[in-house]
Amino acid sequence: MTGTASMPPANTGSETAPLPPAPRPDDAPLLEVNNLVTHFPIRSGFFKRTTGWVKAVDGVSLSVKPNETVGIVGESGCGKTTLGRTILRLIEPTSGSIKVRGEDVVAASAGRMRDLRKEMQMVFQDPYASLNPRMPVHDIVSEPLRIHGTPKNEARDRAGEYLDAVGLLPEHGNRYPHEFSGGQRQRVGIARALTLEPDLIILDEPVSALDVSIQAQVINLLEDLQDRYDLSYLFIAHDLSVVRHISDRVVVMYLGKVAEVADRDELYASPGHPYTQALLSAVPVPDPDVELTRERVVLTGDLPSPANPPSGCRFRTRCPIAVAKCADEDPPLAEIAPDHWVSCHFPSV
Amino acid sequence: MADTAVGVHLASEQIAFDDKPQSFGRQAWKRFRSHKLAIVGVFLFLFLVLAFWIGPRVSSYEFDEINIVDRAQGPSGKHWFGTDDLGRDLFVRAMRGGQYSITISVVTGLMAAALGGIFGALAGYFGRVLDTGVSFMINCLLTINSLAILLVLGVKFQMTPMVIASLIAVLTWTRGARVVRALVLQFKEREFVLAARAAGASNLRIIWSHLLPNVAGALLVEATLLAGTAIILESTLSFLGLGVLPPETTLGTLISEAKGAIDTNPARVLIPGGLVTLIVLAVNFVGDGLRDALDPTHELEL
Repeated sequence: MTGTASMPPANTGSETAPLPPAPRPDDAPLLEVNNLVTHFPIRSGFFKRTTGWVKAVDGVSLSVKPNETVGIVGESGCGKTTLGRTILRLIEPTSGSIKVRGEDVVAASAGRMRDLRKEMQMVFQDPYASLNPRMPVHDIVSEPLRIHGTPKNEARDRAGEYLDAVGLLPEHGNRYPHEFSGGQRQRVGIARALTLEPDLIILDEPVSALDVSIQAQVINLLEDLQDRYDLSYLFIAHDLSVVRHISDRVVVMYLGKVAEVADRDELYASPGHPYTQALLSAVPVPDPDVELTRERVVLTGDLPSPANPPSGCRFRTRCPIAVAKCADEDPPLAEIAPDHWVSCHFPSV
Repeated sequence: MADTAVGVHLASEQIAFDDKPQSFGRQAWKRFRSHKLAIVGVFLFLFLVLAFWIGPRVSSYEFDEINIVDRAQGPSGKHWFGTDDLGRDLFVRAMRGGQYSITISVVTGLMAAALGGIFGALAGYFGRVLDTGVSFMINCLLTINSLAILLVLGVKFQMTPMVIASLIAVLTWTRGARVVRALVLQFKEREFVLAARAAGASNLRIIWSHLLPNVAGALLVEATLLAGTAIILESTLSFLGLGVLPPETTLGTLISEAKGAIDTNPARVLIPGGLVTLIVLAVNFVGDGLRDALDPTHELEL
């Protein structure tokens, strides 16, 4: 494996970063999101008055432990990407709290936020839009270091090391993004996210724009890097098999809310929420006999508008088991089994 | 089932390029060189500059030297471009006028591009009140006829070439600003800008190193078009007698002075008119070449 030919410095971020005052237990969550809400105003008319709100993220709570990979799945438009961007404060949250190692990100000042950004980085979905076409690759990868005051030559050397770590050659740094393929570009994006030695990387559909064979390589690379640099991942995706492969825990989102949270094996073996069941039954089974005979839960209709979500349970308009109660009462996220949380009035156990 | 698919060797995407990486300057030069019209433009521009600045020195006449005996002549070995109604040598006068015209066009192009780039980028990036303000200013300026303003000011004040260039720039930067604003609006939502923000980049850094390089090509083309517009506007002003003061001259003034002689001595109109055309062409060709040269994604036609 040429990727390990020269090892970049191991992650020293946790030693050099200012520690929070009270010592925290080892398994304390790295990231804690509590009741996070992100609404976008709908403006219309000549005076651009706010006439409504798109409830993209509407009360999401989740946590990521050190070295853990949490997958977030859901349809397009369910708020996954907005959630990821809000956690990094690329979008300002409407309410709720985001804590990194116990420190509130939402309340952080601009100066403190710059430091906190070293803890969390992001890999974007579209490798063609996420690299500046006018910048050579070593400038792209070293930019985060330059922003945080690393001298130019040192930043460039470090960029070379991280290019090596993601399976590219340091001399590829002299080239421009358009000279690379999609998978190689995504590696550049990963190298850029690594340079600040973050503890958490938010992966926003990092492989969905890539060919299947390349997807596997990038997923493998992400797993290697997680071991080498002690990273935690928040892995946003809509591909259930990819999420199953990489995640320790899985959060299922529907229309801005959490439908179900469980350990990976638990969730795939006994999904409690009818939405999760429908998602899983949409994954084809490789055995043709099983595929022909198995019963499938097929969702009808489209995702309702997040500007005007259904009353009560948000999933009720498409739910195969919905009753009158579902239109009146919003089911809370309840623990149906140890560490298995479902937001449904009638979860299957 | 996903597990079986992930057994691909990590290094299999390791790539080898069959060419050597080159510095940006070398690549840009290669791209520029492959743009034939741009090379023609550069040589034409250099030729004009040399002619305009050296021509008057090699000639034995002064631009304001009146020689009534030789007045109103056609081109000849003695007076290459002929003489005007006062017997002044038109070759020297055309070169002198060319100096002003070319200076006005280049200065106007640069100033208008700078103004348009700054205002367009600020309006597009920060949006809200700033955008509303700048857009309002742009719309106001667009409704005003530049020529009318220049005429009023020209009647009121005596204008030096630099003042004319600045005024034209102030009246015409809006076109570049609109282009830059639209492109910045488009690029600022791109993921590479989000990535820079996620790394903690300041607004200034994002505008300077991420947005402006991506809009520079379009702005450059606007600047060269404006340089052309500036020559024509200046010529129009001079034609109407509101440009630089006599005995100084510009190409537009020369055309204006020759309007009575168009039947008897058409060369007096055609020569300065042709020079205006050549300057505009040269500037536009160079601008086209620079746009391609500065775009690293531009494919070389080799």
